Amino acid sequence: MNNPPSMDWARRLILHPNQLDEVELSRALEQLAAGADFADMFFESTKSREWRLDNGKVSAGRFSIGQGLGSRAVRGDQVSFAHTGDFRPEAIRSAHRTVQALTRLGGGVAAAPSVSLVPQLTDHGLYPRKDPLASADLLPWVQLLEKVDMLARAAHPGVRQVNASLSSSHRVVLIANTDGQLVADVRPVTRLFIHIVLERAGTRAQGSAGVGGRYGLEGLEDEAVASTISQAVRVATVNLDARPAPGGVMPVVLGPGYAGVLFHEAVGHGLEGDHHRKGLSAFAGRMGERIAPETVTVLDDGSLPGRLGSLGVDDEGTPGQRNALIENGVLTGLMQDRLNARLMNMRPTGNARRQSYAHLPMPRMTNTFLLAGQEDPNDIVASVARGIYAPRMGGGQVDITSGRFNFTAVEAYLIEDGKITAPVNGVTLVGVGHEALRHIRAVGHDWALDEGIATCGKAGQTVSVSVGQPTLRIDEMVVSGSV
Amino acid sequence: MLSAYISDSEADLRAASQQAVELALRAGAKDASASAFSGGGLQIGLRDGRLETAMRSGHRSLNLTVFQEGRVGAASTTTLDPEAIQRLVQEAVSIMRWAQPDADNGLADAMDLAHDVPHPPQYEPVSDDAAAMAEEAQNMQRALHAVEKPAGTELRTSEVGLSCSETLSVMLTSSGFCRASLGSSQARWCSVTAMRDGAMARDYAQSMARRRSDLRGTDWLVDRAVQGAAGQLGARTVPSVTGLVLFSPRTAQALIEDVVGALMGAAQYRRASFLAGALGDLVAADHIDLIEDPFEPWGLASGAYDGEGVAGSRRPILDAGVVKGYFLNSLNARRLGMRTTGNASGPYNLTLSSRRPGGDGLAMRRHLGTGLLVTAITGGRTDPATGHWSRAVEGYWIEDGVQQFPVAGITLSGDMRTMLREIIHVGDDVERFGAFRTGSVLVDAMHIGGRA
Repeated sequence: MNNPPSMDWARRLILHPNQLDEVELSRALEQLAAGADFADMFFESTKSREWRLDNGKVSAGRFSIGQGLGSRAVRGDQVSFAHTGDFRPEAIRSAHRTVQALTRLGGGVAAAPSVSLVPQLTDHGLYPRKDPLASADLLPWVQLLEKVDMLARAAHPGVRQVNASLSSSHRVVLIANTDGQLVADVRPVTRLFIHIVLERAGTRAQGSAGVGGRYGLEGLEDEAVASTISQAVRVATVNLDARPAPGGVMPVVLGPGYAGVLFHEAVGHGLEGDHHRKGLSAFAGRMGERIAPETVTVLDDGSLPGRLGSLGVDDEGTPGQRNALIENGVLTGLMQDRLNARLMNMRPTGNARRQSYAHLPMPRMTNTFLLAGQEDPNDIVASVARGIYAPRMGGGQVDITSGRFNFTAVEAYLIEDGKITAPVNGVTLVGVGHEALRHIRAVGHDWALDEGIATCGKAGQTVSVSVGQPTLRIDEMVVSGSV
Repeated sequence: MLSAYISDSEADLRAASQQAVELALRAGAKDASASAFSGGGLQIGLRDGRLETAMRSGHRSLNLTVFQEGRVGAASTTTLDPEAIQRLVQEAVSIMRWAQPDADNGLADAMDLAHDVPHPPQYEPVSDDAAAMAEEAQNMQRALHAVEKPAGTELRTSEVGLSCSETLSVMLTSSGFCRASLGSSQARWCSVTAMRDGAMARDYAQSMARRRSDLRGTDWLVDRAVQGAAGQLGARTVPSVTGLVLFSPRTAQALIEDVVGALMGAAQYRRASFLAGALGDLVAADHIDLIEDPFEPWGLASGAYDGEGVAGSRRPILDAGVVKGYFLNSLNARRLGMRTTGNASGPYNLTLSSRRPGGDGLAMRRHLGTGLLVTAITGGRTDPATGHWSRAVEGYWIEDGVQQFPVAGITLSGDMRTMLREIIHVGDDVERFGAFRTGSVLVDAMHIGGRA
């Protein structure tokens, strides 16, 4: 197969309309790489559509076209970069002259690399190579949101507001580099977010939930939509009844799925190659050390079918793959992009990601999770005399230098004498990565990934990820509260 | 060409906007508005004295909104070629046709359009090229190496960065509004990792402004980042306690952000706000003022008009603790039976102040007496409907007004409605962060979650 389907998309949307081909791109790379030891071009053509349900009406929609080229030259650990929204050859030459000048600023002297691009086949099968926006029929979008409105209002008599957004995007990327690699990927995304406002006796509370994946509208199954609505309604109900949480150090049981953001924050960010190369991570120099109980294995896996963090190839053309970060409690792996891998004499791991053509790639997580253990989740809750059960999270942060992380529950309950009792106000949980790992007491068998709503921010760039875990007990965490 | 960083002329942007509006009207829209942007800039980053990144950015975009009897559709593109503009119009009109009507949708009312409200000054041409910026970065780096470090502390890595950019924007409506505006921005930042006895801590300082002369000096940036990072070394937790907490000016911004969120039109309309329907109510301590000013010269959030062509006004948002206004666009104003406040693009410059002066930073610590000074909010959230406030924080423990030791790994929680009423003082140690200006803020009835 000389023309793999992803490459067909790239030719049709990016190369052909601008009279670009392998020869033209090879010449452009040679110009870009002058004075550098590596250079790449990242073309992107993204179209997206979003519909909003507001006040019982599907009354707002937006369509967006985002296209551009980011061109990068790397010399040692120095990067020069320019981007343009214009794919015409003269615009590309002009952007590359700019990069050349910036490379000279860092001391690079012109050498003339020779580049010969060979199109590469990417038959990854992780997600469909289709355009979720191909149909001009917008009725299914409107109907799905109408159904959300109806089902949500029927779910609870106190529902006063239902807001929802339904979005799909079709992203075609084309990567060409001075190693001669020319590779394309077609990445669909569809997401549904639901936000509910509930009222009882004059008091209002809100709840939200979402679902998403690398598929088109048809990938949102009725069951997933119904379960998203009931989650949003449940969170709102819990917040109506919530009382102040106890504050201080106590055992915490985290539910399956999105609570795995714990490992994204407490482990993942600290194992990104760039932080290690710069000596900034609290985990730097600790490879091979036992840092958690044997029941703890944490993976980053960009090769799961249909997940938002999955990548046929990453944003530098390396295939998405499964990397062990912690294996049976031992720190084993880093996540790398080309630049950091090369400088650390390691191999790229398929973790190079960028928000868009206008941003530089960095080592980023894909789908990051703790593997299942043996224990019954009910027994895990029953093992706690007094603590917090937190099944749903709102997001988290970490300071990789100190290892201190925090995350916030949007649904939380007291555990008293081994039983889940009263709902409490959303709590913020604080810990230090290596300490929290040591305090993992029990790992459940009910493994799950989040529903497809997680995003990750790093250095001002946002990308979609997945997080996951089974039910988990941590013996000591600091909990925000007032009692 | 206007400048090296803006690749389109005002006439180009006007023509693209005009074309989108005309095509939309021809395709069946009754009204339309379009805005176009073109801009670019440079960013230079140095790590440990070596050039690490040099980036040239260039952006353009065209946004179109179309209306027809309460139906609305919108589209945007980052490429302005004729096929893209065609597709933009076609998609926006198609969405408009499928959308369910809401009578409150539509262009801003003609009487509200700011045809001749003068522009506050916002544009100073960026004069530096990459070489000049790299030279300035080296100077920052030298200042960083020369700064006096606390005894026994070393700087593990340090990063300095500079960026500058310019943007030209044009806005045009089928109701006859057509204006252009120019803006520039400058930023400098510095981030430091300090190390002592195997412990590491990191902090940063940054300064953003529309023109160079409003930037903080290098010495301030460097000193703040180094003291911040070194100061946090050896941080520990404190016992759980309820009482007074002093928010530094940087962290006090979080309080302004929550008030803004609660007073936004959409939150008010949905009544999903801890200040729902609070117009005219006393919601904060009766010495607290929050003033909005769209016209502050060189303000980071200044502007002659918003994304609908409507001007804002210099006005109190909180006046002696009483809510005097919401942040409204045309749609939410109509829904609430009010008039737009010109905030379709968000709030303008905001200043929090007190009629009960708290004095400088030292005086504020004396007011605190013994308790927590919060210098960083590292995570957490506010429930916008209930006002439940919960954060992970870092800072310093203060006793009798004197700093004792750094604190980290603790949580702080409260309730926004209570917190606003329990503001004891706002300090004179005023700093500007983005669009917000405030001194440090002393608040009672906060719950610290720490050691049992």
